[in-house]
Amino acid sequence: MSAKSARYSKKANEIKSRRAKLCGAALAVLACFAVFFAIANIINPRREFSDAENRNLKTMPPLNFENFSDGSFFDEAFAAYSDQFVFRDAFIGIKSQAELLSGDYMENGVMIGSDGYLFPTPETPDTDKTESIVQAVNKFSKEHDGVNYTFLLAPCSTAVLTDKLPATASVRDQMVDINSFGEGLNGSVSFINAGDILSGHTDEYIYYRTDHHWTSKGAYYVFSESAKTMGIEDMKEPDEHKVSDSFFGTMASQSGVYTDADSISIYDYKDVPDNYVVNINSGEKRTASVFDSEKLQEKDKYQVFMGGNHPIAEIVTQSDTGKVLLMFKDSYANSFVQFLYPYYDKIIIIDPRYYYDDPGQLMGLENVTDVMFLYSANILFKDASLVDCLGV
Amino acid sequence: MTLNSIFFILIYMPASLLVFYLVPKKAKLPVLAAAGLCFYAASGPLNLLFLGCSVIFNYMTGLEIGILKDSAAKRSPQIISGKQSSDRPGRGGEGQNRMLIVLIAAIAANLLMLGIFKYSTAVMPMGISFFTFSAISYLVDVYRGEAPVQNNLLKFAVYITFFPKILSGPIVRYTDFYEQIEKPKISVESLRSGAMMFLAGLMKKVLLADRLGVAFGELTASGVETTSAAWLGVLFFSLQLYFDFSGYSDMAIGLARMFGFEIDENFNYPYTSENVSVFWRRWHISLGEWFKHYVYFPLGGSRVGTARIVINIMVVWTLTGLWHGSTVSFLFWGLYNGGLVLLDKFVVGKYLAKLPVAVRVAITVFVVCMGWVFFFSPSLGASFLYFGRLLGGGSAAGVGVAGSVFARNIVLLVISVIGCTGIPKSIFENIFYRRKDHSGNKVFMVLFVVSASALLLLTIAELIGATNTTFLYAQF
Repeated sequence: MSAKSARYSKKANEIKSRRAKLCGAALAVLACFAVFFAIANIINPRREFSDAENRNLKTMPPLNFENFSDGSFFDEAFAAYSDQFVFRDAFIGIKSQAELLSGDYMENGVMIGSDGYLFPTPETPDTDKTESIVQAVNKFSKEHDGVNYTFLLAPCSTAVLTDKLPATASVRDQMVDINSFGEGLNGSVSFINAGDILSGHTDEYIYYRTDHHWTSKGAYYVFSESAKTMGIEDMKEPDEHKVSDSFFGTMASQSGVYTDADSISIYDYKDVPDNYVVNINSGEKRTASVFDSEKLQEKDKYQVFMGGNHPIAEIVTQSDTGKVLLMFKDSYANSFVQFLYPYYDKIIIIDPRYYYDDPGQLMGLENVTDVMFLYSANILFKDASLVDCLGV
Repeated sequence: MTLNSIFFILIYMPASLLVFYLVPKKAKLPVLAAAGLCFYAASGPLNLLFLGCSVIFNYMTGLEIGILKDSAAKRSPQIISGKQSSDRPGRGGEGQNRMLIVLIAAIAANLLMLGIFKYSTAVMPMGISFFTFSAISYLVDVYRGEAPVQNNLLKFAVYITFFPKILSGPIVRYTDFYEQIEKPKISVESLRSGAMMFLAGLMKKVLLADRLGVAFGELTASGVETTSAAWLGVLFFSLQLYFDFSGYSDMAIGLARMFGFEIDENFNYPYTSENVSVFWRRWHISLGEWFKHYVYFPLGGSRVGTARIVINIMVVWTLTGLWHGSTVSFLFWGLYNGGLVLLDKFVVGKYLAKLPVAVRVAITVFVVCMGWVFFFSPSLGASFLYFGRLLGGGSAAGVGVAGSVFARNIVLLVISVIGCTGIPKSIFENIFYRRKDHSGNKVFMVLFVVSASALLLLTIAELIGATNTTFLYAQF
């Protein structure tokens, strides 16, 4: 054997030996993972509910003939295996962080911005839907004239806190969508683009970082600057109280990215007696507060406002203003309502997604003097329940 | 259950390997068959019933062909010896004719079942396209005398139900498999190199293909509105399809190797091909081989006149299109690629050959990727609409989806494009196998173990994270 071929064969052997060792290491890694996770998953206690994802986790289904024969047993069992997987929440976090590191700032439809802000993706309006909403509102205001109509539409944080968006993000301009929606409304409905107001306060805490709602402060700015349009004179100054600083909202759940916890503040008027009554779902529940402090113990702490969404809620006050407000709304309104009680004798709040009666009847029955539509653009642009509710 | 499901990777595969290696030699094949049946049953036990019928039907047909073959051989012994038998086995009296009738009837029955499930609304048994082709391969190979009749039902069942390949291939020809059933190459070497291949395939599938799929989904979710989104969509889909299928094939091949079975590679860097014919010899190789052996060659292949070659190629490509799916788009996709192959072979090939290699590769990749538009569009109309978008039709006032998707996935795109070539493999081999210094072996081993563990952890995170379905309470 020549020296050259000996060298060659020595090299070939070395490559072969290195390859064998490395492949052995790959096998060992795979085996260690299998053993570790088999044991860890057995020890890992079963969870019924995921706080992080805010949903019930699947558990091992009972085996019976029906689910075995249609194969659904296996689908559910595999889903349960994944749902009950040890360190599930941590794995979801690893996925988000790894993708963020690779430059992908979008996680499950949520953009990860600066200063801990998690931004929703602005909804693309379905023009047929928005047109039908405009028509329904116009028709309703014509049928029930002689009252003040206000339509307040709020953009999501993405459209307002633009300097906190990821540098390369290119998103739909929701302000344009909101304005073109407003242009369709007839003259008797005063339209307010809340984004115009909020844009003047972008360096303040006007949107939650980890939730898709505005903060009480954001809602207050919008309220105080739209009060005139709503026909409110003699504004009173409310006080702010912080009630929680450990709120992680929907954007954190959806993305699996937990940045800085949000704080929640509520407002009250110290010079105005708060002897009002809140009647939820026509007597289902009566309370003396627009806040439900029990909800602060839950995952979705935003429900502290009005205790969440209800088909109908009435606030009867002692304000003696001679004004009755009928409000059609989504969850953005829940933290807006806290500013309203000094200015109306009665506030009727309808959530068209859950309310199936005819609000037209209420107009005469309750002697409504003011009608307000308060929506976030992301809900309004994809939800046409308002059209059905207005029944036109 | 699929090979890339977390339950399979961490429980089913290790458990079946453990049992397979622990049981005595005699019990290994029954364990393999049982593992295959359980794996398949998880896709719905009714499917298993269908698979069972298919196995028994083809097994019996094989026996029947064997019996006819024996009786024909007794009458005219020269038929079964020599090349003549495999080329033209049909000439040889009544026995031969009956054998041919049995074969044709059995193939027709197989294809009829495949056709019924594929083109009707009935729920298709998982992997039917693949195991039907495996069964046809067996029958033809036995008929041609290229492989002996399998008298053992268990061994035949292992060929059809071998779980690494049953759902998505590779479609292994029976001639390449039957000897291995008799004597699987069970060794530490195949176990560990199989593990390496499985892991590499898994990461290709989960870390690249699935991410590319998310990006493609985003681009096309609300209809592709802009020209840039349309082009980007083609790019993402082309990469996704490659990493998805080649990753899954690598997993199947690695897994098979861990059980002592060698399956040939299914992809060989197709996106670096210099012309379309080469591309299709390097993409889904096992399907191409199948059509070559069981359709193209029997039709005369390239040893016939030009007109016949054209017909033969178009027949193969029409069938390839139909095999992929039941919509007209797939038929068009087949015809489009058949057309490309003919164009290359008879018209432009000789001119293209004078161009620099890089230009030829670019042209090949471009025309093949255009074909994927038929592949991913839900209907023929939709694919022509998509071509319209590519050419600048549609609204220019996009919402920047393309820009956003591109910006967020630059790293993924760069890795994926490089990953289509042999570069990563050669870098890996140079670092870990061929490096000159002999001192730092331990350091490199630690480096490998740490990075492999990190990537596997990330793979699990991606698989778990994909099931992160937040219930969006407060949206309502």
